[in-house]
Amino acid sequence: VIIPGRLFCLVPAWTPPALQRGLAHCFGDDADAAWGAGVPNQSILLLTAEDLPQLAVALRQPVQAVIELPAAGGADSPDQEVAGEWLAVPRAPRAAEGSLFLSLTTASAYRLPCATLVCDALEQRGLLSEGQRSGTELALQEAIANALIHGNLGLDSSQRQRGAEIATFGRLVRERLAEPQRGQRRLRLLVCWGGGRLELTVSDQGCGFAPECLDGLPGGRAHFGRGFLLMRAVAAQVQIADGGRCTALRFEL
Amino acid sequence: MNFKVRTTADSVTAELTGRLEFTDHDRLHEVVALLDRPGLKRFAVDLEGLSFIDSAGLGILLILQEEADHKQIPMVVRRPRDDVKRSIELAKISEMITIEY
Repeated sequence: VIIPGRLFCLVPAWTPPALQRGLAHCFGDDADAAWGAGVPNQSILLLTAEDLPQLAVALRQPVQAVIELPAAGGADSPDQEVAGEWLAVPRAPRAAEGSLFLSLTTASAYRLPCATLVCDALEQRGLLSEGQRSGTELALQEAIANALIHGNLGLDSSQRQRGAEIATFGRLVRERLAEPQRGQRRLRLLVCWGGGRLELTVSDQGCGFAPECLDGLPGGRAHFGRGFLLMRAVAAQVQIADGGRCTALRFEL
Repeated sequence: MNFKVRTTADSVTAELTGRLEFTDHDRLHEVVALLDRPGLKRFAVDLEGLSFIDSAGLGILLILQEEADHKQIPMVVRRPRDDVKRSIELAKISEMITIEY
């Protein structure tokens, strides 16, 4: 049950005691707890990977953040990992009117239609008109695909230049999604709105890239590498930060 | 993405539906395999049922074109509409692919 305007938390049975204590500080009565300080009256939903098929339902509620809990045995320090994601929830968004934050593992984000779900939520909240929806979804899709494939999974498009290589590329994706080190890396989506603007920020935990590399894209008859071309065509502004690990898209509403 | 296949004596049409995107690598080899049909003289990819395509999906179309060129089989992409048509135009791939609107 999602209660608008109230902190809440769902704690799976396997949750280690240390993490349970940390979450109790987050969502309990201890207003001075480091994790919870300064985040009053927010609806933050913690989900396990098994719960994520319900993400569409969750996003139809007035939640401000959805954080996927680390898989059992999938993180060295699950309490620290959740604490880190908790701290990433915007306390005072630059755009004052509102924000939506999602933190998902790569393995889950790859299997979910993230761009569609986020745009559905924004449309339902009255932030996107039908005319604005398609460009926003396309740009967000490109940023998410880059973050997952090139960022968190560390795969290069040069590995899928021919038909015969595509099946191999698909196998590589499946293998890396199953690796704890890569598959459990985080994809963070932060949407802020206000002042007639919509800003979508997509962050990954990969190795990044030099933004100068984009100057040469797309390359002639190259099969891939047109993602930034599409983003720049539909967004008012595209910015790269954190050594290529963060893409910020701005749209005028 | 899903697809259906329509065949004649010397042609194959792959009718794509849904979304063609970066998670669709595993389906592409099934479409590429259609080019191996003996006696094939024309290959078409019908996009009328496709609602969304991202840059990876466009890359998949370009790979299909290259495979068809390699086998010397004329290929045409048919009836992209709405958001799919716009992505094709924005990515400027019409110089590399024959598109029938």
